[in-house]
Amino acid sequence: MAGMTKRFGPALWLLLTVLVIAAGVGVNQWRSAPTSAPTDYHAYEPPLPLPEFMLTDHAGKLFDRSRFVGQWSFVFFGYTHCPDVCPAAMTVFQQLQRQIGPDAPVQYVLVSVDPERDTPAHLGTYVKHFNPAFLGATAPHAELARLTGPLGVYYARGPERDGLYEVEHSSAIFLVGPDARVRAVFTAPQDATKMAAGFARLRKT
Amino acid sequence: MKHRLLPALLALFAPLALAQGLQARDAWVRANPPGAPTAAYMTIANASPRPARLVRVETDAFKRVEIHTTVHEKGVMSMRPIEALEVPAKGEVALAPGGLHIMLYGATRPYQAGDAVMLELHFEGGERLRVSAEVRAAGSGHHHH
Repeated sequence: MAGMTKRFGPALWLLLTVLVIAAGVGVNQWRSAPTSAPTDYHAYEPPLPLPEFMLTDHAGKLFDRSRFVGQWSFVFFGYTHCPDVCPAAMTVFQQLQRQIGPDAPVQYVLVSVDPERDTPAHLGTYVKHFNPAFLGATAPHAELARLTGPLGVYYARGPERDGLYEVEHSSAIFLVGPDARVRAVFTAPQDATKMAAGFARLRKT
Repeated sequence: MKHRLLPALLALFAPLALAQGLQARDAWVRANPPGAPTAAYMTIANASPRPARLVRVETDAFKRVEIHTTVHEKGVMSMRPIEALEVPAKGEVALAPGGLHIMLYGATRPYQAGDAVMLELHFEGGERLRVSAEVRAAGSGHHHH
């Protein structure tokens, strides 16, 4: 037994050293994975240019692609008759605005996928409740499709129950750059702190 | 012997509504914009050895109340009314943003953060539970003071 150790000693040590190094590299890669590859958003590489579209904002003004130029925009697709998910997204906008700062060149937009009920006036009351600077915009479905289509945003009106209906819709929040190109999509459930950190990284690119 | 007698004594003085061991805690309603529906959230605990089924919620603060579930599938959120909400025996169920909630539609009077909304929870078998839900501006179940 003692003779065997003597004979295979150097080879064993070499094998052990290699194994230890390999394990160390593995652990390091595993440790660094969450920071080097964030999983809370998906970045568009290259950024996705937006097509021409024409919405109406809550003040009754045209909201087209040019409204994205010169500032960053967080965009959520929802509707005001939504009791649970949409107010939660608007609250994420509130927290995000507080963390990024109210003076940062960032706008927060709720695009309503329920134009039948969400008139500009109604949208205005809704978004201003969360922040006077927030924007609401919508358009008839055919026009909305020009924006939702390229973004892969899905929505569909549910069955009506005594005059009330829900709209199922994509839960993602999009980040549009000052060049009107989509930079990233944040998937639900969104966390404002993680989003603010993601935005800080994305705005440098 | 003492520790066996105590729960029995306490039970004698417990309110009638808790007779079957149902309790609601951390009840709150999101302060939503006027005209928009909102939702009530809470945790319902069931101490009894039998499951309980919440079948209806009543309030005079809103015209319409429905028990909803939010389903998140392939990046799409959809809300569906459900007939009943089961609270497991010796267990609890959490109603929270992005999931189960009590939809409140058509406020009968204006409400704002800090107000209390009285809700009456009706369970299968006729049991009722009165719950006071605090109106909060926050989007989550956490207090923001």
